Amino acid sequence: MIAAGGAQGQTAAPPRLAGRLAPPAVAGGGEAVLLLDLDDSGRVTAVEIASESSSAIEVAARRWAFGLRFVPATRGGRPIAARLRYRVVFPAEPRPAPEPPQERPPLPQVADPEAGYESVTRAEGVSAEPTTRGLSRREASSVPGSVGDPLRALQSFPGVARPGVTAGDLIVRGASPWDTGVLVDGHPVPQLYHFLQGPAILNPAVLDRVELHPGGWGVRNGRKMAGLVEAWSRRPDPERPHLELEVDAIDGAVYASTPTFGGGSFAAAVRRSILGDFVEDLTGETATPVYYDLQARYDLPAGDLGDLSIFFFGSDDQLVFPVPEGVETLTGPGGERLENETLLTRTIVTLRRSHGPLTLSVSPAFGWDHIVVQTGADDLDYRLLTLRARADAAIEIGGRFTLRSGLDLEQQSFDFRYELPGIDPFIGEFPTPRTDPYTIRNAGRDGISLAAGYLELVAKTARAQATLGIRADHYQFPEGNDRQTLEPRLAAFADATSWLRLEIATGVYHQAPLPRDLSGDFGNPDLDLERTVQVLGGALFRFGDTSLEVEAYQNRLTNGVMGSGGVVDRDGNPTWENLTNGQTGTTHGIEVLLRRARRHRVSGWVSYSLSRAERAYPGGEPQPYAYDQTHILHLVVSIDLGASFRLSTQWSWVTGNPILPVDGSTFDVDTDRYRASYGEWGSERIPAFHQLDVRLEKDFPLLGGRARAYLEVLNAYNRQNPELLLYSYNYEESGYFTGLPIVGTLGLGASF
Amino acid sequence: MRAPFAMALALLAGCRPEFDNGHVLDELRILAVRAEPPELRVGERAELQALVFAPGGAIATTHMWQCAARGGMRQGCETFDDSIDLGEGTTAEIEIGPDWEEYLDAVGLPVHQVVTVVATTPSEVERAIKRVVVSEEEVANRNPTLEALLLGDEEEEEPDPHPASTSQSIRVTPVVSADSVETYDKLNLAGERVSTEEELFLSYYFTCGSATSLKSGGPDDLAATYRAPSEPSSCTLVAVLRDDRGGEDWRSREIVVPEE
Repeated sequence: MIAAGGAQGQTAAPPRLAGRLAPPAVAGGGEAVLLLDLDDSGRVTAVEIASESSSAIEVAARRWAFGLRFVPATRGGRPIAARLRYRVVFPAEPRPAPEPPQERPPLPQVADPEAGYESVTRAEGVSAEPTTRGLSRREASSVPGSVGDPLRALQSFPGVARPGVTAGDLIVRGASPWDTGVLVDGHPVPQLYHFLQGPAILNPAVLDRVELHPGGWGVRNGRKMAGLVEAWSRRPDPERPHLELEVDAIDGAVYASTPTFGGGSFAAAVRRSILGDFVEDLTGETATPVYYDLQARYDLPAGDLGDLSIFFFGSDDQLVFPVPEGVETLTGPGGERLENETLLTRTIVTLRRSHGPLTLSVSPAFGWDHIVVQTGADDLDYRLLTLRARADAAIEIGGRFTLRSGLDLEQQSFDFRYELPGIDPFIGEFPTPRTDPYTIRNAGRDGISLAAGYLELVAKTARAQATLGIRADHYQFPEGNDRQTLEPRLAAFADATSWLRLEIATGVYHQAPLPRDLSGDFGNPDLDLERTVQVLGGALFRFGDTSLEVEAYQNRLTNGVMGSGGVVDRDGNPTWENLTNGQTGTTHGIEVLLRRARRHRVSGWVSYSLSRAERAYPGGEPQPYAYDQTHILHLVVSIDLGASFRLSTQWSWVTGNPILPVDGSTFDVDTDRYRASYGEWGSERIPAFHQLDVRLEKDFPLLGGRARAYLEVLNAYNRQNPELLLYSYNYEESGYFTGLPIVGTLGLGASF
Repeated sequence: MRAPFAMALALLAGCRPEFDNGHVLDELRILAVRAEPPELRVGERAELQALVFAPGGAIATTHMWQCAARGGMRQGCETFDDSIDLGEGTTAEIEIGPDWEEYLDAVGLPVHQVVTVVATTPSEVERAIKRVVVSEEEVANRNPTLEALLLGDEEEEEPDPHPASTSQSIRVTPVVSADSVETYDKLNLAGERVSTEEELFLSYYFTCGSATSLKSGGPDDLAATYRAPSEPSSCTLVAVLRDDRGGEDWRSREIVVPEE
């Protein structure tokens, strides 16, 4: 990339526009901030919209930007790829007196001539969310291990904890993975990643942008009480076809897009895992971890109706997993096999229209999920049909205010069948003669209805913005239980100086218990909603292309779900309560993010989180929560080596999770099992994790397009990181399952 | 990161600690404690017998205590002041005193008398708990009976030791008495009686060699295949039969792989 200040004696020149292309007129007019990726021939290869613009402006801006041609940036006289930042103004229709195109300014205004090309990692004050951390595909490729996947690279940001070895969930600010929502084009999906910490279920090629809101997010979204991840699909290029190929030792993927009739465009992508096919050969054990994903998007300008897009995506994870003999911590007694398949599909239709100061969008969505789990003892089959609809209207009032209102509706219908080991109601009371059976069998059909409305007022000046909103939710659970909530939220920021922005936010958040926790068999259908109150404040310092973000936060949980050994009367029958609301908790911390833009020869970021997540039972002292990781440090450095070589490294250091130590055991002769006795929860932790990953990438031209080859070395100094503490049959011996040893992988990619 | 995807796969590739499976007898073990009868009424007595294995011909000292507390006691009670010392030895006797009458009435369900067993050698200590059911049921539980442990083609047990060649696979067929599987009533939470049949399960332990099925269950699936060691040895094979209500029985066989 571009060397800053002529590093190493090389002179750098920014890209220059090679031709003239006036911005077209758009109904209502407006402006957009664009980030253009240019290859070393000066061609625009990607367009990101970095401002919150109307859909008409976004469409016009993309179409216009792909038509631009540049004299490429150079360093030392050699053409190189670059990223360019523009603010472009689109005139309103009807246009004033026609002007000869050649008399109009050929270039849109460059927002910051000295910082004309950069990687945007934080919204530029246009988002209603106070803390927005995002990554471009280009930046994600600087994070070894992510292989260009911005959704995976999010895990190197502050506030995101390291997930457990057998799950790839996103753990935000010490909360449970269930507490963080994942939205694709505004609609929730139940999983973000393929199983076993695999890649995201969305091919990076179909993504326009990815944002992480760790806290304080606005009222447009709800039903989660920790963080929020928003992924937005990319409109296929309506001007010319594209083809992208990617293959490495993990998986292979293809993306293709083409213009269609009527100014429309269509894209499709497919990916399949590769590594799992070799597992049997590698391990000698029969295991078939396989995943697929598929995406397709069609866009069509629909005249007076607005702009129409249809985005379909699906993901399928299949796993047969032998549980080792003697391991009691995975799915029960060892020697059994876990067979699992998780299938999900979503179809999201979005119609957006701007008319003057008014912007409208309507988005119905359809989802289908199918989960199958089978082991020697367990049998679960769960099918979920989800129908959703969102409607959103925003109107600008006098240039200083924006009033937004919307609806967020969802209907879930599910069929289930399971035969699972029940919760032992008499822990330590075996044998439990003449009481409940140990196996729970059930089957049926039920549904959940969710409805919400929200109202939000944004007031902004040139140097400050305040957002005040309120959201009302209605939850209709099975068995006739319903809940209502009101959630006020406030966020504001102010630019104290040209280099300092201050921000605050607070809000109330609710979420429903896990579906299984609302089951009468395993949980309690009368459970109430869990609730958090979030408060955060921070500062953003900008020094040229370097930024420093510091944010402190506190989340207070009430009404948390916890276990219960009580018996309650349900429909006239005495029933185990299993679960109740009563847990409280506090998570507080401070996060620091120091970043340097990618256009420099050396770029990257330092991310550090200091946090404490605690939970307390009624009358009890707070204890560290299972996802508590005191220190999380990531150092991500990317170096342009010249000759289109780039070296990227990531070093991470993370405090180990708290555990419940075993301090003895007694053999239970009636069950033929040892019963452990435990010490104090959280009095010990798994040893700290640290690891260095390295990636070397080379770009080169190929058949008129661009290709890249890369070598990634994971765990470069072969650290034996403890992941899970396992015990022998009688708990006298213990040892850690350790993580991945040093591993290298080669990959190839091409774009045309 | 994608790295953990490979990491999770590495779980299959051997990045985990190796432990004994608990069925090879190479340390001090309390394998079973049989109460006769396994279910009592208030005022009745039961004989207790512990099956203790000490490796290398070591002499183990066994001691039992009757816990005073009702139920629970999953970690035993030998250090509690109010425990009743049943003395040393692999056998003992307990009595369910009249004070249990009130407790049994209050609970309204069968309850447990917990016994703690501690075995010691000069270098090892092993602890176990055993529950004896106290109830007012008309028909009390009885111990299942493991009548024989047939090896290979035996139609009835022949005198030990049973000869085997190195690494020979030997079918092990337990013979369970016809009345071992009993039918009894469970109470659900609404207080209704639900007729239920016991489910037997059987655990195999051995001093050397190996077995294909370490723990088997169901009336038709109690058998296993024992594999003799690859070197001349004298091995003990122990099978412990349990119902799911605290009833127990056991048998052992000696298998010899002679010098060639």
